[in-house]
Amino acid sequence: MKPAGFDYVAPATLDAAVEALAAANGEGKLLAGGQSLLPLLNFRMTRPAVLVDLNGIKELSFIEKRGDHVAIGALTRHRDIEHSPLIASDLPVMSAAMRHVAHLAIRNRGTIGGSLSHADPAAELPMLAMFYDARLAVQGPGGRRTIAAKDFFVDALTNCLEPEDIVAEIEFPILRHDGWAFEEAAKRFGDFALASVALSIRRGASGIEDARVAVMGVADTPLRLGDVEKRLVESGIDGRISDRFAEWVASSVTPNSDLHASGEYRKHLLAGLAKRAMTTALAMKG
Amino acid sequence: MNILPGNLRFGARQPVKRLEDHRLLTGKGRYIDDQPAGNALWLYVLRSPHAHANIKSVDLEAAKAMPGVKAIFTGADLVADNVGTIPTLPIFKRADGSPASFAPRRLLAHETVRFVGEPVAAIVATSRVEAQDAAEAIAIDYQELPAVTDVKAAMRPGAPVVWPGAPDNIAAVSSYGNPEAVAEAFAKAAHVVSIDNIVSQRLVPCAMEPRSTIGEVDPKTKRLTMQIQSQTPARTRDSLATDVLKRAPDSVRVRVGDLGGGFGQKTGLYPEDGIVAYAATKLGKTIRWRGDRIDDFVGGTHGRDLTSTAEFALDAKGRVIAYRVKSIGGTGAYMSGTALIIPLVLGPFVATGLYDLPLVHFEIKAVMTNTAPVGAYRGAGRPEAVFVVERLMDAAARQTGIDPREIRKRNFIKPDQMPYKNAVGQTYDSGMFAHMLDHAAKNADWDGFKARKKAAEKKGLLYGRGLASYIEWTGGNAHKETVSLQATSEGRVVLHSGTQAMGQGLETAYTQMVAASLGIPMDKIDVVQGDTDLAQGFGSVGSRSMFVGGTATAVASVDLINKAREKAAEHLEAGVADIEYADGVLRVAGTDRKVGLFDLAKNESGGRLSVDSTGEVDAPSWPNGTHICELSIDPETGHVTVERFTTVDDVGVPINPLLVTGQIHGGVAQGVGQALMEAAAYDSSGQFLTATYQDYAIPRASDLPNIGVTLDDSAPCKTNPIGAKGCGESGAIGAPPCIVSGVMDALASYGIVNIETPLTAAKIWQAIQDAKAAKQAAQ
Ligand SMILES: Cc1cc2nc3c(=O)[nH]c(=O)nc-3n(C[C@H](O)[C@H](O)[C@H](O)COP(=O)(O)OP(=O)(O)OC[C@H]3O[C@@H](n4cnc5c(N)ncnc54)[C@H](O)[C@@H]3O)c2cc1C
Repeated sequence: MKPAGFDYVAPATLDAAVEALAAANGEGKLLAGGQSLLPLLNFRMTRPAVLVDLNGIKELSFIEKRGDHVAIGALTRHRDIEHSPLIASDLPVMSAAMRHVAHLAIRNRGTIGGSLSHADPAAELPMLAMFYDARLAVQGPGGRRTIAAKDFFVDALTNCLEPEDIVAEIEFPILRHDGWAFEEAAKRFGDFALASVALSIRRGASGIEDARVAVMGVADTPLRLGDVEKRLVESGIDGRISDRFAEWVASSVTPNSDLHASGEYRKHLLAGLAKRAMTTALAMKG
Repeated sequence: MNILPGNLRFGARQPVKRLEDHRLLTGKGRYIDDQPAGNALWLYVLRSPHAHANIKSVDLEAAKAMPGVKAIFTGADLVADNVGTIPTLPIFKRADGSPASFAPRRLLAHETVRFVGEPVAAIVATSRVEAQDAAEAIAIDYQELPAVTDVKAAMRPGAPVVWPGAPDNIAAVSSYGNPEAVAEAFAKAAHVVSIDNIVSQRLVPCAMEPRSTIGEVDPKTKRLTMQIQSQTPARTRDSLATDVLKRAPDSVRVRVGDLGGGFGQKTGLYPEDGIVAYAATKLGKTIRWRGDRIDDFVGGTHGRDLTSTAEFALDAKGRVIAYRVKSIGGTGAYMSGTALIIPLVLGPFVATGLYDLPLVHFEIKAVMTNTAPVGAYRGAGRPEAVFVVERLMDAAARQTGIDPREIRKRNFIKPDQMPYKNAVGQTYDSGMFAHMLDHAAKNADWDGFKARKKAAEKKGLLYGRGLASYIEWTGGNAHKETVSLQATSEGRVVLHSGTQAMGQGLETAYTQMVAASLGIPMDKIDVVQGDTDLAQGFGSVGSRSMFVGGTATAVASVDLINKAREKAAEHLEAGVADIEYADGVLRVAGTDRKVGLFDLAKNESGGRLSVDSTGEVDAPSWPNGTHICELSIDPETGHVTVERFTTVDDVGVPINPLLVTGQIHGGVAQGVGQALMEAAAYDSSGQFLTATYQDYAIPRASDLPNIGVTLDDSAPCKTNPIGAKGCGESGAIGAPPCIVSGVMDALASYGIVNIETPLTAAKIWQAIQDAKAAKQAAQ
């Protein structure tokens, strides 16, 4: 074994998990798919005293339509979201994005609750949570409360949860739109994104009536670009709309440079992806 | 060279499927770490977090009190016990003629650490996790020193000094050729073509199985048995016994078992192996060490790391009349067994490539930095050298306007010049280089390129074609191998070989050779490798296993038949000359008097009719060929997609074409990795930035095209009786210059001539931006 020693509990219900986590006095850690947590444990970059394994909690794994939104249980695997017909019809941008999440073996284990909680700035699901304006239902010792995605992601790899909180489910409002696209560039297919754009629009007589835009890989958290959305609604649809959109998106971010790519390159990639996204979205039948 | 009967084909050209796969793929392999833990103690290696520091003090008190801890060793303990250091070849010199100078490579650092990852302490405990926990409790007071990680920076005056014996950080140098004559030729050349900064960047060899070691002492005989992942078990044993433990080699046995890849990274003795051996003898207990992936990244040898400036002088017809190269080979902080020979000798062996280039001037400096030691990695010196000459040949083609095939052909050594002695004194025995190039061009549909380029350009892509002709030197300068071949009374044929399988499929290749020679079914043949008590030899490096080890196997097959005929003659009371052998039966010619091979074995001691045979080749072999690729580049992102990859390879007579093709595929994949994505990176303080697969990218299946391999055996090898040349490193030599040639071709319209590999999308994009900006500024 490589991690530092820890105790292990595997509760069968969410309530028992909340109890176990609270009993750990801030030294507990939840284990979902383990795809991000286990490497951190193995490198001893995290050293919980207790590991609370969520995998036995059946009630946390579901995808359900509830009126104007889709609710997804925190323990739902990436692979189930990728192949869900409900997600494909009601959250098409999410459906398109899922194949970019890592690789098959990782998607078989990784969960939406784990991905959101891990809060990687280059991960797809946190970006989609921002994009759809998702609401996270969080269970703690004091009961259940709801946190908006925009308040959930605080910094790179940092969420706003207290140590004894568990994400139970996530609600994604359905967008009644008629054009959308998801574009991503990574070093190799399946790697974490260098840059990515999600776009959805509804068109009307005067042009774009409603728009959603989110980006990732270009800041410490995923970003929803409200200003760009507004400008899209104000601007008519003409031959230059994709170029304008690309410019607006790129000028909204100042990405950092790292070993893999310069900030300038990421920004350029983002513009290219945005242009392609708008072209794709507009090509869909309005 | 052994002369063998002409009627035996030794199973050549048979695409037998790998016999080992069923066992390996169903979990029946026996890798060192598969063994049950038993009551072994576990050893954990604590590594230096600093690139360069003095060790002021080590406090072990808290660690020693941790649960399960049995012993902790530091460099000082090993010095006190007179434990030796790991040597390198002692034949090299500095510029002033004094012997090469570098820090002794200790098992555990003593007084100074010189790279991040250098072992500093070994903790032995009842479990692995206890050993690791105790390691965290060791308090070492380091006094940090300035570090240098870049070879060019290391050569500047005032740079931090890695080892005081070489204040300029140059461990050793070599030079070849005639500087004055070369200078004269350059003065009168019609064209001078030069490229600055041709870099074969540092790579991490990525064997699937991380290293692990087990040491065990027989309580009665005190004999030490080591299980080590070594490509060269016998040499590893000798070095461990003689240099490190200072005991007789035969008091140590090295066993390997199945080996999950090596690629040259597992050729020598590692500090971890020595520490395990030391702890096992010191404590009289079985000791296990299992490396994690990161132990290979930071504690295994790295590969390549050669930076060159190269120039051609050409006449008006495109003949190269002189060739000049200045290179810096990075060795890392300590010398691995091959650190100096690779840049100083092995690279130069093939530096002139396939070309008739008698007039050369090579200067090479081996430079130390505060980084992990550099050693062999698939090709070891040859990919670096061929990369230089091929890049230059492409540049020459572009500068003179001569077709890249044509300029190569004008300069190739011709078949009637064989055997050909090259500028550094190496003799190529055979080769039809122009033929291979033409064959490759035909298979690659050279003429269809234009249409494919047009189609790609229509989609907004850049499209290029790459060409590289390569040569490989094989044999590791060890031209003998001894095997033992036995027929047993139980009806089996057993081959003991000192070469080492690590994925090449040697079990299959040797089995088909023995089966064909003896006429015995393959399922009755056992190939046993990796045990110094059973066979000794140089091991598997430098693509020598089939070339030398296969020769020995062929010789042994013939020897066994001859010995069986002698035994049968006695048994059947006939003259040896009258005994005929076929398919496991010996018969007096023209009669029905006969005896079976395995029946003869019953009369032998131990029930084994056995021969020990030595195969000897005359000289190295020189595999060669031409690789051609086509690739597209998205100018918006800089991303390269390799669309086609075609090779024609001369490996002499292929024993098993299926296995050889697999070797070419694997080598090409690693070569594509080198060209497009792999790079070991340190920051200027000496921290290693690419210590996991998150930051060190290797190609995946989806990053590679179909690789069309054709083996062309028009030029069998003349230095061994089976006609085989090596093949293990060819793909990794041909692919990097081929891919880079293709990228430069695609970017030619921007005037881009050199980008340092790896050619990542980000770098290509940047080069395009820079070229556009330069063009605008010029207007
Ligand atoms: C090689 C590789 C490549 C990858 N590439 C990508 C990629 O391209 N895109 C991408 O999005 N992801 C990628 N991932 C990450 C993957 O998607 C993970 O599955 C995901 O980030 C974490 O999900 P998990 O279920 O495995 O969580 P775990 O690893 O089990 O947990 C992650 C963190 O979340 C906490 N946690 C888990 N569940 C909950 C919960 N219900 N409530 C509160 N906290 C919780 C854990 O305590 C831990 O801190 C990659 C992973 C690997 C190994």
